[in-house]
Amino acid sequence: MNKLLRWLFSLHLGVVLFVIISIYAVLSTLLPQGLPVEHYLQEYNFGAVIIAFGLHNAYSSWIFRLLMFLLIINLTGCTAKLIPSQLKRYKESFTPALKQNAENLWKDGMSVNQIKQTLATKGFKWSEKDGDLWGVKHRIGIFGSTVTHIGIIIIVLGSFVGNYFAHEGFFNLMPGERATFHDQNFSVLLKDFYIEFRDDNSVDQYYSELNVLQNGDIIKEETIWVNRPMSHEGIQFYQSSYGWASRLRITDTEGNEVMNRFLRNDESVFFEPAHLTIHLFGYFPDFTMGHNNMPVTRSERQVNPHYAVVLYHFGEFADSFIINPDQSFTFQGYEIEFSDSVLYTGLIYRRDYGYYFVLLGCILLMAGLFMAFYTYPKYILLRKGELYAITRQNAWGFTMWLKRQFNL
Amino acid sequence: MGLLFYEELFFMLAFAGYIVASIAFFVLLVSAKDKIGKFAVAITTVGFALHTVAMVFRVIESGRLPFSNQYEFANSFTWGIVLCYLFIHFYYRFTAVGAFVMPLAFLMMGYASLLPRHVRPLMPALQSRWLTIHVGTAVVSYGAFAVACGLSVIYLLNSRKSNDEQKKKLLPDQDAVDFLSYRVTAFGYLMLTIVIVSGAIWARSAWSRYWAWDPKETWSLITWLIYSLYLHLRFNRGWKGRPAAWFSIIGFACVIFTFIGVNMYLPSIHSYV
Ligand code: HEM
Repeated sequence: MNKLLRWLFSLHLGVVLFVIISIYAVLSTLLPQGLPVEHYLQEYNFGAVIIAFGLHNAYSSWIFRLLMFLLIINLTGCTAKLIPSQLKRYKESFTPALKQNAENLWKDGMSVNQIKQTLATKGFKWSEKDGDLWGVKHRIGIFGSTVTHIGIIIIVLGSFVGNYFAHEGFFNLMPGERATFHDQNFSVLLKDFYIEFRDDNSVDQYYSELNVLQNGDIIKEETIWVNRPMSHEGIQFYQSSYGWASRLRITDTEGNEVMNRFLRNDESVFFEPAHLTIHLFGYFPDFTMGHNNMPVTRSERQVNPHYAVVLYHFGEFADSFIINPDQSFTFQGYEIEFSDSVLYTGLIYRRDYGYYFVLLGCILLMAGLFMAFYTYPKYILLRKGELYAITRQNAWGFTMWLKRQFNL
Repeated sequence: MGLLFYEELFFMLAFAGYIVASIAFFVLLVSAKDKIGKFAVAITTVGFALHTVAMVFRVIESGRLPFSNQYEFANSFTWGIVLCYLFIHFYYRFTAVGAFVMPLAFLMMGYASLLPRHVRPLMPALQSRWLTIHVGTAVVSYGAFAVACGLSVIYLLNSRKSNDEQKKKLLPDQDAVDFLSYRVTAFGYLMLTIVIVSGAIWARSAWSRYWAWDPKETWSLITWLIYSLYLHLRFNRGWKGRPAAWFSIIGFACVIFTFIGVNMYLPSIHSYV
């Protein structure tokens, strides 16, 4: 039991986990993720293995969770084990042992006092122990690895717990429409959505002007774009996609309007009186014919607007048209036309408090690394005729630095 | 003629400079003549200055840092490699390292020269101040890993070389190479951590999630794990010398794959080519 526990908290297991997680991650990037199970069984010789190891959904598989769980246990144990010795070494009275092959940097003509003074200006604090002089700097850096490890633990836990409680969704709005968040007691109204173009008609940016409404009052007005979400009550709203919606009008032989509604690209509507399905194949604001005779748009600017429409009668293909907003076509006496195309916006919303923990973990991680690599503890042992640079992390670099201070 | 013409001109001059420098460094290894080393470093420095001028022209013309397509990354990456090398040279007086670093710079620049180089405005997802931090740190991080890789190659070659006295004088002491490679890796690792963290923060503001296991993200994490392994084995198990050198080379292969391979072989929303 004891042995198992010791292994669970050992660097040995840590290294094994590093290797396994890396291999697992490499394999996951070589396989398409999230397809139906049958796909893997058919396409790959090792389909069953892929499924068994959860590699088709690598990061929500039980294997990955198990690996992460073990990593956290291992890392927590490892870190906890180290803390007592670090606390001991952090004490002011602590001095490290001198290595046998340590290089004595003392040169004739040096003076103890001068060395003390020079290094004191570089931040070394001097004390005496058993007749030797010890200079020390950056003792705090002893905790670098611990701070780093705690950062990792917080990141992994924060992301798992965060994802578990995170709340995400997607909605489309046309200008004037609103989305209501019942559990939140507010709604989001799209005042306007527009695209800003550059001279070459390519897209510069997408803008959604949003109002947040509560009990009929506007409590917030914000314009969001890609890279600038709106935040409200812990929920972030992101500009994510867009599309065109176009007005379909059908009039009968007497000129009465019998249908008037918006259709999105690739959306169909069934018109009962004529048993007609009208499919808006697409709206092409800057229309041109592409190769193999498919309509395409050169940009999202309404330079040469056209609609491509396909009709199905009793479920059978009946006809297709490419028309502009001033044109119409008739089917069994009904006049069908498209016009008034508007952009709608696609917004993602997400609430994930785990993110703030992950962020905290990242800050600790970076601070810990900086401590471990740069503000690691540095000791200088000074006796008459002897001068040593002592450190665990970077003996060579610290020795070199010390030599430079005295032009050795 | 526009600034981009001059950008191309200076780019080509710098490229030529790096080729000459690479050759000179190799001559240095064979001949062990001090003068050739001085010449190689001088050419590298001049090439670097020309390269910097080329980049400045592009920055003026495009109105932003050259961080937004594969050509610009490769170009900045080259610049980062040479910058790190020159720093190592002038700070630690490690001249011969150039023999294994400059060819990397020259290959990367050659790769850049094959890519389309027109200045395109930034697509919406790239319009963020995080772009500067994310790619800026990536440039130095990758540059540092390239230098660590060059040092490791030297270490491996040197550890089986004859005891030719003159060459020994030229090549730095093995312990120093080993240590320096470690220090440079540690720096690159810290920078890589900032790359990944800033990327996550940026991804959250652009795409709503901070981490989605997209192949580019995953590969940067794999690279990071490999260097984590390196640091732990070195620090706790005393893996120095040859195994550490091999690790460093494998790590750099991962860096290159993350940078080029992922775009070529794996589908990713990160592929801005
Ligand atoms: C991804 C995760 C990890 C990161 C980023 C990380 C980072 C670090 C860093 C930066 C150091 C200081 C090394 C140096 O100064 O060169 C360190 C030390 C150490 N790490 Fe980790 N580590 C991680 C995971 C682990 C795991 C899983 C273990 C497992 C048991 C572990 C065990 C240790 C030990 C024993 C030390 C030595 C600490 C000392 O004596 O001061 N680490 N780690």
